[in-house]
Amino acid sequence: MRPPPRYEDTWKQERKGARHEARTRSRPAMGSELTIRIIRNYTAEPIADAIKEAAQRVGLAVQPELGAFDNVGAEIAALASDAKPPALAIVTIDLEYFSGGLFSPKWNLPQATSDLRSVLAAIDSIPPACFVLVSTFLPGFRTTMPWAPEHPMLGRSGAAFELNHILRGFVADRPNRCGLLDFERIAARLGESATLDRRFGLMMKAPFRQEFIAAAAAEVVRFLKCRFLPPKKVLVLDCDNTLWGGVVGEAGPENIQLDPYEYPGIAYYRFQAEVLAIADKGVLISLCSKNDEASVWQVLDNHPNCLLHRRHLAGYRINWANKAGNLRELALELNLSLDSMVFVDDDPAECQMIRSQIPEVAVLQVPGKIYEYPALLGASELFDRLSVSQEDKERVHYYQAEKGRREVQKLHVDANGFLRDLGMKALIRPVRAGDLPRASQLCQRTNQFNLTSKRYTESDLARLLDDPQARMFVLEAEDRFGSLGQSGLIIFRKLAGAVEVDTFLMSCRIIGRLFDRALFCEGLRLVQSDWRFDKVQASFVPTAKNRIVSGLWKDYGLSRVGADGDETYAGLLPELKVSFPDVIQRADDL
Amino acid sequence: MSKDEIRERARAALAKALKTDPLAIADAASQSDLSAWDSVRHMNVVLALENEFGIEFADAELPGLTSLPVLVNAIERHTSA
Repeated sequence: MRPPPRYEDTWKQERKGARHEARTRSRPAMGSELTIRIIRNYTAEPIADAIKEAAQRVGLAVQPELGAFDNVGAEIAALASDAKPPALAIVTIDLEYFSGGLFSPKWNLPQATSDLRSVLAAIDSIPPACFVLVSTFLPGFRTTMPWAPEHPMLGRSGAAFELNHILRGFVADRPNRCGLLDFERIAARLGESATLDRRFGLMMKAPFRQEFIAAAAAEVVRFLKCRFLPPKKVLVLDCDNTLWGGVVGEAGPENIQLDPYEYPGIAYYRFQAEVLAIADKGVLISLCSKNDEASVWQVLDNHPNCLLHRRHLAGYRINWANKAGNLRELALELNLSLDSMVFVDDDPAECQMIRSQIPEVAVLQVPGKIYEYPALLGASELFDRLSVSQEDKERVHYYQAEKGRREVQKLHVDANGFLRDLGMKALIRPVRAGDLPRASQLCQRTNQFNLTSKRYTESDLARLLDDPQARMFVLEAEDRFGSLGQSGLIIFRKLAGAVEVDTFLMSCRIIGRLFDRALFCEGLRLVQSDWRFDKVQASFVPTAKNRIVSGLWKDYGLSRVGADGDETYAGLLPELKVSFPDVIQRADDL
Repeated sequence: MSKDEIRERARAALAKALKTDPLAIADAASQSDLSAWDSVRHMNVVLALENEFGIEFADAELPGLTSLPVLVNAIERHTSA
């Protein structure tokens, strides 16, 4: 009788199969489905399954592909020469099988370090369109000498520490290309018994428990959400029992609960600290409270323990009106859509009312266990960001300046007088490598004044920068209320005898100020010095949010040439009805 | 627990682990009938059944647990012991 198949045998057969598959792999057509390549030296199939399921739950269609087993170098090299690389690659290496095996008599840290550096060097050759997440190495959970720092040449923990140090340094230097999948931190959170599966670790080279796999998959999905779904931009806060404990209008500012040391005031204090940390990442903070305005300002302006001040606010509605109406008004005032808002309130009825009347707004209720409150915003994962730009940090100032502009507008009856009074200046110049993070952010985030809504990533733009058939110009704007930052982008592509406007967008904070005309005309003038053409071609790709620019090309003097739904426009240079506005001053430097 | 009862609970757990419909799993279903039941998914199957019945299979048993009837017999042994 034939003995039953041993695990090792079935496993080896499948490994051979997997290698073959890796060579002949045909890629599924890239629709809305995101492809993820997992490069690993252990059985990561359960992780792939878990990522797919977790992504589905947040509405992302993900197709994970597994690289051949234990073939990390070759798999990364294959990715580097891939004509259509996946959106994301995950490189995950189990220390136990790395560099000849942790338990091999030949294992030594210098060799492992050098092997890791080779893997990392190979990662650098992966095309930038493919983001790479690298998992950290797991240190040991136990040691025979818990009181002694482990010698890196001996213990697993020491080795993991050294290798992770290299890994973290590598990732830190490549913020827009690589990220960590921090297994070490996940394991620390879950503990040994939820992390390691000793049975399948030894039998199947599948070292992780289902809890750990689910947590790792959740981190991957969190990253995908951050990269591929629109971000939240505004945090709207109630005041009483939300920014502090108690009702200020009744108790008076001196009797509210808000304290850096004493419970429960400390919970509100820590929450405010979290709010400021989020504001630092470029999220706008607003208040929406049923209150007497003066008593709220008494706390924000004068309470010694109130961390949140008036200067942190981009807007507020402190009145006795319906909060749904207030939120709608705030969205209009900030020129942002309701689905970019997050609302925090302690009153379950208010929360429910917003949920039902404006389902686009994400609602967080202050937890009943107030000691859980400081963790609320972080745990919601709504304000995760891949990276933070200087623009993000200064965003609130732009919005405050905008309030000043509105005051000026009230003084002027005719629009031109208002615009002239703003003292607008525009610097329009070619995009440089250093502008790419902001330029890509504009492509990703601009919804209203955006003619084609092409969501270019930083690496897409890097390619365009090197493309002789493309030219990109950025607008830096300023007025007497201050800098408006890099707030417009135009991309031209060369056609035979014509130039095509591939992308044309303006940040919502400068819409209606004629900066679009400045950018278009100056961009066109600059591109004319490089290319010869007599015709401009452009298109309008309608979305749910860009109706505001549906007639723009006609206004500019272009005629529609596409039939039916095709919104393609064209015009000869002399036909254009757009000129650099005389209310805007050209600047050489801002 | 009757054998029938074990079979139905095992079928449901097996279906869940293989992400398939319980109706697609016949009484005599084995690894060779179900394409989703590869050696990697076999881990899910083992874990799902162990969780369902609160048992732990012996390591020597694992490679042989390749059909619903074999699983049912093994579960019966563990739960009656």
